[in-house]
Amino acid sequence: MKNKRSFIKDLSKKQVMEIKGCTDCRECLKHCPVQMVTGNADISTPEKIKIYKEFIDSTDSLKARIFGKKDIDEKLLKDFAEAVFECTTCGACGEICPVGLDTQRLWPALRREMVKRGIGPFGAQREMQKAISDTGNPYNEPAEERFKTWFPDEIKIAEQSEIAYYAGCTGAYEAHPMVRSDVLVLDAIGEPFTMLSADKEVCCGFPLFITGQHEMLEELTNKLVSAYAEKGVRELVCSCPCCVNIMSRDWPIFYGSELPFRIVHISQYVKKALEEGRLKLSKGLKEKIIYHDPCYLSRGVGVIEEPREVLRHIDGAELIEFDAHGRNSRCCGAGGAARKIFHENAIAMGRLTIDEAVEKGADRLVLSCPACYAKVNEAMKGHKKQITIVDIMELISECI
Amino acid sequence: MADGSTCYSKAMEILVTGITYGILAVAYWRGISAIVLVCGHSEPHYRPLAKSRVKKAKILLNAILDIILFRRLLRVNRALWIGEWVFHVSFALVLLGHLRYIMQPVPGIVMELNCIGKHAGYVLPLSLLYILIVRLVISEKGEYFSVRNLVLVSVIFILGATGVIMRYFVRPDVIDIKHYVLGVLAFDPNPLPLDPVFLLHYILFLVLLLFLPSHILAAPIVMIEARERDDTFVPLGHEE
Repeated sequence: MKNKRSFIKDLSKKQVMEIKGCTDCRECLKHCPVQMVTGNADISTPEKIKIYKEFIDSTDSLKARIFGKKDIDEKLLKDFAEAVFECTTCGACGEICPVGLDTQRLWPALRREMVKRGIGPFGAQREMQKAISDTGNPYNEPAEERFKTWFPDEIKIAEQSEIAYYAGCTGAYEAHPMVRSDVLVLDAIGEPFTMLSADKEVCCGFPLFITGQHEMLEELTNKLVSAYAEKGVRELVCSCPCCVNIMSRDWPIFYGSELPFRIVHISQYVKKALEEGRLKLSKGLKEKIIYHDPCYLSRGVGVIEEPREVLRHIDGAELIEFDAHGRNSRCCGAGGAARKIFHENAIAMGRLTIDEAVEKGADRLVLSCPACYAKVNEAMKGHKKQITIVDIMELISECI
Repeated sequence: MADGSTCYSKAMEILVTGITYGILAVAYWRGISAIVLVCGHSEPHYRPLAKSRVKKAKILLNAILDIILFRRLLRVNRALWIGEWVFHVSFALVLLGHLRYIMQPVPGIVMELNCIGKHAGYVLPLSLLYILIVRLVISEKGEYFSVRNLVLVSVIFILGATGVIMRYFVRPDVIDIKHYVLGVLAFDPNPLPLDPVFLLHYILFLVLLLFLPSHILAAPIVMIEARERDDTFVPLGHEE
């Protein structure tokens, strides 16, 4: 296949530098969750970067410019694309990188490069764009079902409010207890909050962004931002770390200016309500709980302390930590939409999380991401070690 | 026809111009990367430019310390850090010591550097041995050490070892070597000294140049970016 299109044209100079700057020290392999479950160094960060350097050398190096660009081996290109899509884009490699590569942002950029070449996305990821276009969500579920099965009948939503809640597609279709609890807790705080109707609350764009399919991102962003702005929203509360990540980091880009409202993770909103006494927890728990940091919440936007502070408000609960926590947390396997194609990897990673939680003697494993919630629950099925999985707001709603 | 010394000074001018251009190009890239977009878009959450001068100076100082002391590696692998740091410092000193072979007349400071480089020459192969031991035996799994790295480390190890051999055991004619090197730099080659140890040393140096890792130039820039990213990172909801 003749594939001589530049490999650096659509990357930032910073990212090109990052690719050139990898020292191949391989420290990242010890922290990569995909390596932990596959042991396949051929798909590791330094190997992917080495291959990408070869692509750059073939098309963009001084030699290529003087003597002509070389054809890229089709198989190598396909292998690279598969490796970059097998990654969970959790960014653990970048966090411990002795050089400081920002891999949580680099991998999506390289995925996009592959998509532009017609290699990737793979499997179910390919269907997401059409599904979002048809139904507003990547799961191809009917839009009218978005809130139907889980939204508590007794909760009243304000038509207009400065506070809005965005449930997100994964929560709404795959992690019902989580989003149900979000709404219950928001209601208990007592401040009126609004939501978009089921047909208007469309995908935030993250699944498309992370799989390199950027065509619809501006449209989705504009649709959502305008709808919330019309409702007079000043603070958009969301429990999905992936949504929070793209909303705070990328929506302003796709929207073309600063957003007319702030993005807040639900743990931040609840923490403030607890501190100000607007939310009171009447029940305690005599339990050991372990909190798992979602990669896109901790490494992505730095929300690390707030969920812990919320959990510390539960009387009697003993909060324990994973060995890798905070910015160094280990992906549960649900990241980067890789779970849609590399299912076995995701299950194995989820089981690593379960195993450690059980070994540390936790009574409950607390999550705060719908993708983690769905995948770790799936990983539990048929696994020899068992633990109760609970979403952070599910736990809080129990204590109200 | 220009004589040797004119050619030499012209070559040096080109070298200095090239390095200056490289530094300016990097500075330009840094300027761009401060505003350039990730995935082709700007990234508001990433705040590359600190507002106050004190903050900027602090970031720069931290970045310089990151580069000089390999602080990021220190954070993740202390055993490897000491080996890598000693290796890179000794390698730099040995290289500086070699300046005497490409300069005529040799400035006093270069002679002093040569003296330091002589001692660093001992340390260089030892540090590489230490890195190999840490990589292959002590630290985690051997397969985490790539073949590429193994070859590179071996080449530098033999380079260092032949350097020590030439200094203390087999002494080739330094005048001939310098004559040859200055000729190459002036595009007016003189006869290549045929001492076998020197030839091995020289061939390995050329091999090293061929496979010189790109990270030598790029990694320090990435480290500056990373320090800037770390020091200006504002967690969600904590914006001013």
